[in-house]
Amino acid sequence: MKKTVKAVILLLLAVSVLQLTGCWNYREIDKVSIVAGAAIDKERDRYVVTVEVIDMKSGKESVVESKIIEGRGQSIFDAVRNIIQISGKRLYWAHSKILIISQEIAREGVADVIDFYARDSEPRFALYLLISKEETAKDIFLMESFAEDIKSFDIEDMLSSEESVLKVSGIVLYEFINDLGAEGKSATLPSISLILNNDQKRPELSGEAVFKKDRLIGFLDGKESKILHYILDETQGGLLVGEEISQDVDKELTLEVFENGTTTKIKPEYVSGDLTINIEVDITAAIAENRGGNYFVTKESVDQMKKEVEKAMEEKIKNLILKVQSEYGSDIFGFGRTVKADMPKTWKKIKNNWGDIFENLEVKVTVDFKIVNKAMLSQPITIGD
Amino acid sequence: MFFDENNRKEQQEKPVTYKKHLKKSLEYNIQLFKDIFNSDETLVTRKFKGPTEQQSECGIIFIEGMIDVDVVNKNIIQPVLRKKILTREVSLETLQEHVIAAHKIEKTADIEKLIQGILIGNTVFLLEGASEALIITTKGWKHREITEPPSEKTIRGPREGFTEAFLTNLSLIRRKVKTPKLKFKYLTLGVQTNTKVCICYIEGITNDKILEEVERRLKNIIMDGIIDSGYIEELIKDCPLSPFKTIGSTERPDVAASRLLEGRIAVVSDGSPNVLTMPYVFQEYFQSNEDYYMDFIFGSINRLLRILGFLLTISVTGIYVAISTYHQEIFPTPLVLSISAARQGVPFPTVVEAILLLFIFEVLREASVRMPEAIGQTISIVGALVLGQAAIDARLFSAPIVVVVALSGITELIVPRFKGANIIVRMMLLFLSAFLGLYGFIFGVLILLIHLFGLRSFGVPYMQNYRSLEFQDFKDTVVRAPWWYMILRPQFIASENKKRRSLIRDTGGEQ
Amino acid sequence: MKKEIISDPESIITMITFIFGSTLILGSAGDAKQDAWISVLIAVAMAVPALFIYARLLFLYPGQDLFDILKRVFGNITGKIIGLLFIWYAFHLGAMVVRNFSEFMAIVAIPETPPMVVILLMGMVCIFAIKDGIELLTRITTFLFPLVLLLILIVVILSLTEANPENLKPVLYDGWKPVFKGAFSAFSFPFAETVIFTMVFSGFKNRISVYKTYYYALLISAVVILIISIRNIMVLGQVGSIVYFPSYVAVSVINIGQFIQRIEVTVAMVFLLGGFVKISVCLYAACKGIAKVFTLGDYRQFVAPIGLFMLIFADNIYESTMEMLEWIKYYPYYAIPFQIILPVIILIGAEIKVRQETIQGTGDR
Repeated sequence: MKKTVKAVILLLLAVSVLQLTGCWNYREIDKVSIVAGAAIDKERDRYVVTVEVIDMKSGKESVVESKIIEGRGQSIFDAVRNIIQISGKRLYWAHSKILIISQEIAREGVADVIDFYARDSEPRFALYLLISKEETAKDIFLMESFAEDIKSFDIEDMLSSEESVLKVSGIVLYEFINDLGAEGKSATLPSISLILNNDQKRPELSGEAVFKKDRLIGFLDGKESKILHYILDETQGGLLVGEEISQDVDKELTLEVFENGTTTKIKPEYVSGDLTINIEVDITAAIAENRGGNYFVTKESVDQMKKEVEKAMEEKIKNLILKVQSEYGSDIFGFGRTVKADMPKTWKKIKNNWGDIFENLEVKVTVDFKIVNKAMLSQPITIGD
Repeated sequence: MFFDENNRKEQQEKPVTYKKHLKKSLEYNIQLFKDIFNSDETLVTRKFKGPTEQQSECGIIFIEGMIDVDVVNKNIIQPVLRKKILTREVSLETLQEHVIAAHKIEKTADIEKLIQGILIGNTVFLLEGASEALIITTKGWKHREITEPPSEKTIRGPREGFTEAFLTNLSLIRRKVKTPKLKFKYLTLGVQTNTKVCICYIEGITNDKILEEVERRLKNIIMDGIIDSGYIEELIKDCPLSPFKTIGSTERPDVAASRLLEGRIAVVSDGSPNVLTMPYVFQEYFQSNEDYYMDFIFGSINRLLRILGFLLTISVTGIYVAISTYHQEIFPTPLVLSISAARQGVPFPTVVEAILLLFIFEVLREASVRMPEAIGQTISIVGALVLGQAAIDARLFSAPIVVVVALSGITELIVPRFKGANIIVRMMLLFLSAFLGLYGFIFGVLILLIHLFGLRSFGVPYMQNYRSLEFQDFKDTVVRAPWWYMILRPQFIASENKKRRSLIRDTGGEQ
Repeated sequence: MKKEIISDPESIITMITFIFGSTLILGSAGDAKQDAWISVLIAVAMAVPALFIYARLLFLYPGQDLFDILKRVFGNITGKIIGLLFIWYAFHLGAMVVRNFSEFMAIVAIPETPPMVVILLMGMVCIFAIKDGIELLTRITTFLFPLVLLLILIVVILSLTEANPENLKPVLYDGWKPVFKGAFSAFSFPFAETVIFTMVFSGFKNRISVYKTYYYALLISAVVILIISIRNIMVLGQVGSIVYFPSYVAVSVINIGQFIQRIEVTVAMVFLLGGFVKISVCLYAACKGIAKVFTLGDYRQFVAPIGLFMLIFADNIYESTMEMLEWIKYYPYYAIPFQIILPVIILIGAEIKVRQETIQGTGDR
């Protein structure tokens, strides 16, 4: 008798456990909409969240398509929830790669926007952030011509291959939060815009967006961004072309900077109340393309080129710093952070009016340039008769 | 020990003693046996006399088919018929010593013994005027050839296998271990079947405590019949509800011999080609006799494969269900997309898919075991084409889950010894994974580990080898260390005499 | 009931895993920000004398646990009262760890699942494990430990690609105060929590093993925790101080070649193993204490009821994660009596008692 009761109780327990299964966090992969990327705009007081979800059609061969859905709401989360009404499926964020923020929101401050993404456990901390240079952020998603089916993945590919093109560097969510919170370093984010290519509008990463606190205050163009990364010691290699490296003579020269070929050292100096920043940039490069028939055979000619490149680079760096100091007053170079790390005591003294100090900071730049090889050709191609 | 209360009561009536005694009258004695074997028509009684009338009558009783006819004819009947000494005064002793040509004769008055003798194929010899009888060993029934057991095939190594014949089996073991220290102890189990069981061990290597425990448990068995050693296994194993084996069984004399050498005890049961070895620890699941015959590198690789196979077969479905329904973020994005695409339009949730497919797989496996070979092909066609391809095409199942279940099924076959344990553990992990994702899975693994580490086989911790940090204990687990390295016997089993081999020739390098 | 004898490596590993316990999830010395690693070092230095007290206690009375010692040193009644306090501590600590884990899982993985389910499952596993004795637990731990350690180290190596040593600078920017504060919290959580083991271990192979266990465990766990906290600072920088579970987040940002990424769940599972050991040890200590203090025979009969009670307690102990983290700030002060004051008093008492006993010749040696 006792045994029967026991058995019945066990059975009931087992059945109830079975019932419990399948609730809660159990979610079938095909019952969610996988979000590839999102764009956030603001219309008056309402947030407009545009998500690109991956739409799967399965037949003999499964077709992967992108679907753009837009939702509006008082808050970002509200807007996201409203999207569910349209898509019919719950949005699944863990595989989202990019988040595009409109200029308008960025100018008002991005902290409020990214709060949701950082707080919710589903989106990744390794999510790329972008600032749209177009009127709205969703414009980027509305473009037709992409290499891949999924636009967000395309942009992600651009961001990761951009490393060797040197213009911008992808910033992921946690890095950005770090920059926002850091003392003595202002954040930058890559910006994205549309350009005409083959008569089609295509997205392009066009340079860095400069922030002061969490507000967007301006943009750097591609070339400036490139220089910025030299200062930040973030370059992963890339090209130095013609005018970037020379005033006039060697416009035809293209140099390839190797991965890890650059090191930048920022050394602050504090002498009797005056702060000076010394920037030392070491660049190692190879000749990648040489037009115009310049021979770099003799040591003199190489030295001369070297000098010229160094001079040009120094000037570029100085110009950029001057521009940022005067136009934006935002320490995107992280000079303050270097001071804090190397001279914590000095930093404590000056941190309260770092804004002013930065604007009038004296910066000394030294570039050391090295050429390691000339690739396959020892001389330019000779042209006979 | 697990005995039903009713069973025990019944068994207490056991000794069905025949109170009758042999008398001097041959007629009476024969009738006595006829009564005992009432309506058993295989019982043959034959009376015969010597050439002259003065000679006293004698009789033999045996069971048809159990005896070697030649022996009975030529060695018992013929000499008696020919010899003239069979006068009325002749005694059984004289016959035993001078007439009957058999290698083993026993004189007894114990009717119980006589009956046993008849039952195992001996011949009982009765003499007019003697209240005792002779049991003449004439066993000789047909049994199977010594062949390689199909369930334990090897590429390298001896090709003998145990048969159903008890003594042949013992001789197979004896032939491998030629030492007087190898001991055989007989027991008779089974009230009705009177099955002979033999405990084999090597004195001086085997731990006496374990031996005592084995004997104790065997003697406690009260059972109607022991048809196969499987009965014994189930009756004396530790933790009878556990799906894991705590007693090993083998059909190969070489395996049994090597286990004996490691200090284990073998139990041979009459009529069963499966010899039990105990204690049995977890690592033995992964050991194969071939590991030791081939070089240690290849042996180790195979062993690692088996362990991997075990891990895969219990976990792969669970992990897949957990990840694809709880932690989709772990998959790389392209994989998520393809799984998602494959699942479009599939009616069942992933767990149900997994359970159904596992069920189908087990059905196919079970069906093909007992299938005549001619029909076997049908099953593979039905399995592969109908259930595999067609089910995916018809969107009954998604392709990834079929791959996963197939993987789980194939790896199950790497270590066939796991059988039931595999299925149960896999299901448990699958349910827990569907319940709480990978966290449920890890809880399941913990429960499994707690169970395994709590198990003991005859006092030896089941997972002994896996808890130790001493390399000497580890040498024969996930890898098979070279023989010149395995100096010590598994010390948890062999109590004394730990050295497997002398250290002096250690550096010789010859195998 | 047979005596449970535990070998040296087993006891060391169990203690290390216990120390890892929830520390790997919650991180330690969060107050000190980028100087957390200094705090860990100081905490280890502080732990050396504290652990000496615990080890010395067990050393003085070999084969006996804290409850036996209390009885011998303070007599029946006082000993029992102090014993009760320690039972409470073990019980409460166990409940807190249970809660830590259920909160962790609710936040990072399965937010919609009722926490009680997680708590129940976790608790059931621990009850199941402890029912077969502490020996079983140490064996499982010894089996799993190499895997756990290996995984931790692999993940640390993988996260080096995301590490930025600059984040460690500036050293001691905010002065020593937060560092000491962090050190204090790292001392009481987790290092000095090993006081629980005075209630757990009694079956050492020889007397000196006690010291060996405590100091090897301290050394190894300190090294790992140090490595992990340096990793967290280097990978996360500022973010490390605003997330609840820094180690988890630090792993989640690993991205190697687009392929090795999002591996934090695997790490979380390893953390779970640490929690399992910690909860089990606390539960064992509490049950053993109750059996001994109330002289009720075998502790095994209390494992299920006390365990279930601990689970219910864990479910109701805090209102929310915020409250839990708030409490963790106060925890060091709460733990002082159990970790320092009482052990010191007991040790003094024990030393006096042992001397008296040897003089009178009534010592059992």
